[in-house]
This record gives sequence, C-alpha cells and structure tokens, in this order.
Amino acid sequence: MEEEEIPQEGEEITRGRIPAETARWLFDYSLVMKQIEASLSGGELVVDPKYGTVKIQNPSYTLLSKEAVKELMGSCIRPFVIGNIQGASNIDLERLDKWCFLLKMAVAKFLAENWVRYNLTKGKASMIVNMVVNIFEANLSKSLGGKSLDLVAGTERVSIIKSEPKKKRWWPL
Amino acid sequence: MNPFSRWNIDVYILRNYGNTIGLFKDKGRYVRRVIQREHSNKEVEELHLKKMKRIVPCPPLKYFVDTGKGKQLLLFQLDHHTFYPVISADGKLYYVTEEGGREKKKLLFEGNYVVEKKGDKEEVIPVPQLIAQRTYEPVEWLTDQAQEAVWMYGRKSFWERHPWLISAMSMAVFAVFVIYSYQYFQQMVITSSTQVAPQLRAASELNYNASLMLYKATLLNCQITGKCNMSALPEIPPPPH
Repeated sequence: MEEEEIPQEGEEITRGRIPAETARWLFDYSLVMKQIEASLSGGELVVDPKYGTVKIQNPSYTLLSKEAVKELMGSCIRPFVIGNIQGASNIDLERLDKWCFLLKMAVAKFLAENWVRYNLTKGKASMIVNMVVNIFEANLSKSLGGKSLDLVAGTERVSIIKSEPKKKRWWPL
Repeated sequence: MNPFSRWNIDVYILRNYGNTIGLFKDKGRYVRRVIQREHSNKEVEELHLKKMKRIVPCPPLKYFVDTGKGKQLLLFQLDHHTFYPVISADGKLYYVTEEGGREKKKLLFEGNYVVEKKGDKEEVIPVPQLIAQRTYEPVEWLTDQAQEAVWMYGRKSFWERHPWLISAMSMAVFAVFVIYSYQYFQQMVITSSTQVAPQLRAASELNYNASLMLYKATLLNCQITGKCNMSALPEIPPPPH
C-alpha cells in the first residue's frame, strides 16, 4: 500500500500541475493564417490523418469569393503579420493593441477599395474585419509572455572573434 | 400622429414666377396614418409641411435623398395644394407627373440658377449646390471603422482620451485668478485714495506753516539787527492745493 503524502501547513501544492508561466498558447504563424482563411471561406480546420497536416474542409465561400479570399490573404493579412511580428523585438499588450488597430484599418481600407468588385455591404464588411482581428488578437494575447513569442521576438547573439595577423618580420628567420 | 416625430426632412419648394424660379425652404415630416371607416381601414401616407402649415400626399420614397443627418426633398408647387417631385438630370430640373398610371418627366427650368427670397432681399443659388449629393457608402463605413478601432485599441485612460481638458481647466483657473486679482487691485486703489490722501494733505499744511514761520523769523531778525540780506530770505512757499 502506498501512503499518500499529506501536505503540511504552509507548503504549496505544485505537484501534478503546470506552472502558470509556461502554460501558454503556442503561437504559430501558419495556424493563425489557416484559421483566418478558414473563417473567411466558411470552412473548418481538419487534421489530415495521412500526412498530419492541417487543411480547410468544406469551404462555402458565402462571405467572399475564392479569389477575394486569396487576394485578401496574400496582399493584406499575410504581409502584415509576417512583416510586423517577425521584426519586433519586444511584444507586450500596448504593442498588441497597436497591431490590432493597424490590422483593422488595413483590412478595412482594402475592403473599401474593392467594395464593388466583391459585392460587399456594410454588415458583410464589418463582419469580415471583426473576424480577422478577433482571431489575430486572441492568438497573440493568449501567447503573450509565453515561450513561443519569446522565441519569435528574441535575437541571437553573434560574436565574431578575430585572430590577429602575424607580424611581418623584416628578418626572415 | 406621433407627437415625438421630428421635422427631419429638408423640403425645398420651387415656384414658377414667369421667367425665374423661386425657392422656399421648409421642414417636413413623413406620416403614415390609418383612416378608420365602417367596414374597412385605409392607410394614408402624408407629408406635413412645418412653415406652410399644410398636409399634402407624400410622393414616392425614391425621390427622397439621404444627406446623412436627415433627408432632402425637392418639390415643384403648381397650385395651392398640388406638389410634384423634382429630379435633376444633366444639370437641368424636371418635375414628374402621373398620367394614366405612368410617370412622365417634364422640363421645369433650363437655367442653372434659382432665386431665393429672404424678406426684401433676393439670393441667387446655383442648382448643383441645392441638390444634396449621396455620400459614398464605403467611405462612410471606413470612417465608422476607424472610430471603432480608436475606441477599441486606442488610448484607454480618461486623461489620454481627452487631453484638451487639462489645458481648458488651467485656462479657466487662470481667468478666475485674473478677475479676482483685478478686483483686489481696484479695491486697493480705492482704500489708498480714501485713507492716505487726508494724511498727505495734513502733512503738506504742516510744511507750509513751518516755512511761513521761518520767513517771519528772518524778517524779524532783519528788523532787530538792521541788516537785511535779501538773498538770505527764503522764498515764499506755494500754498497747499
């Protein structure tokens, strides 16, 4: 018979639990992109059992057409996410707010420019903008202070060691 | 009739005065009323005009133009009680009539200017300035989105959202300080003029008496000694004010 250890007074129970600092959402570029694309195209994300990759299943394209989704992702959202997050060295709540603001405005401008081409209405357009920004904000705010974002924001130390050149001797010996 | 309905329609009434077109600005509201009868009810759409105090049958809603704040309607008045909706095409004004269940547009005026009477004065208004332009939908939506984004992700604390309040409050405090200090200064001048002036007057009188005494004493000295040096005599002081 194994006897259970009874915690004494003043002793914190930490066994069998993950500390709060490490329990963070794992931030992944490709997954965020896939999530946004799936929600825009009206499908759902599924893990392919054969290859273990994530793919979009049953897209309906009711909000936007296939070309529109491609254009939005390729020309607006993907460059924004990659260009902003990869270049950042420190990610905190203030910066997240600023990014959300910028992403919202970028998507809104893009939709306003292509208003007639995509057959948009006010309700449709605001729904699209909210979807994109909410997914982006949720993924980032969950993973704030975690290891994955630290890795993204961290920089490698590069040290160069120069060996001194040999002194020329005027006397060849 | 709903008493809380607002006069949200800008009605521009055009009248034909021979060669010119007159303009009369009015406010209106759209009212939908049910007339009860013995066997059936009848719905009536009316347009109430505020200044003219008149009720006319409402023209179709497609002639109303959204301006953002409210709606605009152009009407052509032919008679006391007959109004026709007006549309503009190619910079000219047309009025629309119904003949045999069909809409027909007729030319109202070829010119580009309309005369508005304000009492004795007359004002000339160009026609494109009259007609409200429909706002472009995505632009409106984009401004809304920007406002929303600022509210969601912008500065959150009260003093960061309204920084102008600090300067306004300091200006108000400074203004109050200036007003009160001016009042205090004015009071100081009055008290000084009432309290210090009599003392000054008394002092000047005393000075005058003393100098007179000195003058008399020197004269007496001259009489006693018999030597009179006029240059030694002090001048007669000026009398106090």
